[in-house]
Parts: sequence; structure tokens; C-alpha cells
Amino acid sequence: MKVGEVMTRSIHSVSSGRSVLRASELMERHRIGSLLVIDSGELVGIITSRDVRSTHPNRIVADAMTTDPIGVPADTFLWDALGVMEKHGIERLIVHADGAVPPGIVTRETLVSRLAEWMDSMTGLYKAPYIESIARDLLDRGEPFHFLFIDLNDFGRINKQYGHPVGDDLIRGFAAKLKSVFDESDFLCRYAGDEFAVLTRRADSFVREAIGTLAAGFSAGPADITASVGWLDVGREPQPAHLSFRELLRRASLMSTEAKPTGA
Amino acid sequence: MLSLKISEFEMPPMQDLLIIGKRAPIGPEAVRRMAEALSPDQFSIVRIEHPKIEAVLIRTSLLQMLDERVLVNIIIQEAEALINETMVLRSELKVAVSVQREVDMS
Repeated sequence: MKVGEVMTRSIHSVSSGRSVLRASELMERHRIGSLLVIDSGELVGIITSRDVRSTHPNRIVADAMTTDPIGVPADTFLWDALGVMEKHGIERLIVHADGAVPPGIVTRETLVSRLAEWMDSMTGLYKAPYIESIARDLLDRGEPFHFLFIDLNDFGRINKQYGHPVGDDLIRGFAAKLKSVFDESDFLCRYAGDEFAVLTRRADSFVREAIGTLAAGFSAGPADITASVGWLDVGREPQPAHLSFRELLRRASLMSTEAKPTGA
Repeated sequence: MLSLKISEFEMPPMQDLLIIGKRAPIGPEAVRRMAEALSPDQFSIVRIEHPKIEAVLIRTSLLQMLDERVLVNIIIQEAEALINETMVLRSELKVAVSVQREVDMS
């Protein structure tokens, strides 16, 4: 999901020579928390309700606004946009779409709320649509990557033998293991139930080592479990441009099934 | 009864310096625009890091005579005891140079 899909296009603006009082009245009238500052068709800043509160109302907007507001292109992923906001400690981002003035705007509240729908509350990992969205984007752009589909072995039996709380501990434990093996440059998700998916652009040697670590057994309380991993290197596909996400997933998940020990 | 006082409007009204408090009713950009409208190309805004002062408007010719850092430091030292952050202070600043030379009278 990209910011262009969730941004607000109905933007209210003010010119930099108007008073802060006027900006405050506009925000109140439209029940909004910010105004873009546009002079002669050019975006020159943004003024927020926080700026208004901390500035004398007689001042002009130019003396209260934030100049050079931080923006992102409309095709930025939601999580990347949120990362930009966190890095700069801001609550709003300008969204540049097709050179339009005024452009769009997206708030931190919108991003957090939309991303929460994609978050798996048990593990803190994203859900399947996250990895699908990134994989589709990379496939569209023809960029090579590794796709791992990971299935915990014999998870149903462990649930029955030790009960669901132990099964949940295993899921959380495996998610923590994933996070420790990969870093912020990689994309992780809990695909469904006891299945996880990883998308990474790192070297073959790293991926091979990571698979070894993930496939090795680990414990949660009384239960031990191993994982089977299906690995598809999109860069080695003869025609990666013709590979769909559905096909990618089908092949990687079948490979993880083939990698399972007999009976698991 | 009608009382009328007429006096000349000084041009420019800001003399040589304006010292702008951080929460003054007029901010540096508004002051810059005002100065530019009244006396084009004659004043410069210098933004400064100070607990109470946000910026100083200075006649550009003064900046040609004195180093900006030296001049701003003097202004801050003299103004900071007087100003609070909601004020704008106006100031006159003249530079006088006295020259004495030894000359050969023969």
C-alpha cells in the first residue's frame, strides 16, 4: 500500500503574507490541523496548529511556518513514509503526486491506523498483504530478490500435545528469531498460522546461512520445533518479469513442503 | 475641541537596527518585507540563536563597515538586559572613525 492511496487530496492553503490569526481561523473553519503555504503557485511551507499556538497571532504565516516541508513521492510505501516521519519527528508529510500544486498530505495518524490493519498483533510482524505489496512492486520494477517461505514443522501436533498457549509461544519465539536473523533492510511477515515469509535483497551466502539458522530447531517451554524453508531466487529466474506474486508464492510454498521431514 | 499633531514621518522609521524578540507580534520575515518595501536593498535580516532574541534587522551599510559577528555580539550584549521576548527594539548605531596622521611639514 502506497501513500498516494491514503493521502488527502482536498488541501487547504494560505499565502505566506497572511496573518497567523487568519491561518488559525481557516484551520478551525475546516477542522484541520495544518495548511499548506503556497505563494504564486509554489509550495513554500506548511503551518500546523502547533505553530499557530506557539506564535503571536499578528505575525505573518511566513514567520510561523516550517519552510521546506518534508515530502515523499506518492508511490512511497506506507511503512517507509512512517519511517520518514519518525526520523524527522513530524506528524505530517507532503505527498508529491504528478507535480500537482497543492500536492497531497498524509498524517501520522492515518499511516499508523492503516498499518495497524496490516499488523499481526501476536508477533508484531506485518501480515501477508505487506509482503505481497512489496514483492509485486519489485517484480514490476524487475528488481531481483530472494523470497523465503517458512513453515513450522509438525505445528499442529505440538498444539494438540501441549495446548495452544505453547503453540502461541512457539509462533512468538519464531517471529523473534526471524527478527534477530534479518534486519531493517529485509521484509518479514507472518503469512498465516504457522507460516512466515521473508523478502530480502542480500547476497546468496547470507540467505543460505539464514536458512540454516531458521531451519534449526528451537524450543519454547516443553516443545521443540524445526522449520522448513522454500527459497526462490528471483534473480535466477529465466524470465523474472513474467513471474507473478501468485506463482512466486506457489513455488516457494511447495518447496517448503518438499523440504519437510517425512510425516511433519 | 480638536487636537491635531503633525510631524514628519521618518524614512525609514526603523533607523539603523531593529532587535526582534522571539514572541514579538512581528517576526523577522515580516520585518524584512517591511524594510524591503520602505527602503529596498538597504537592510538585512540576521537570524540569531538566543533565548530571547530571534533576529536583528541591520542597515546593510553597517555590515560593510563591521564584521557581522562582531556587530551582532555587541548588539546582543547591550540589548539582552533590556529586551523581553515579546518586544521589538529600535536602535540607532553610528560608526565614527577618528584619524590622526603624522605628516611631513617640510
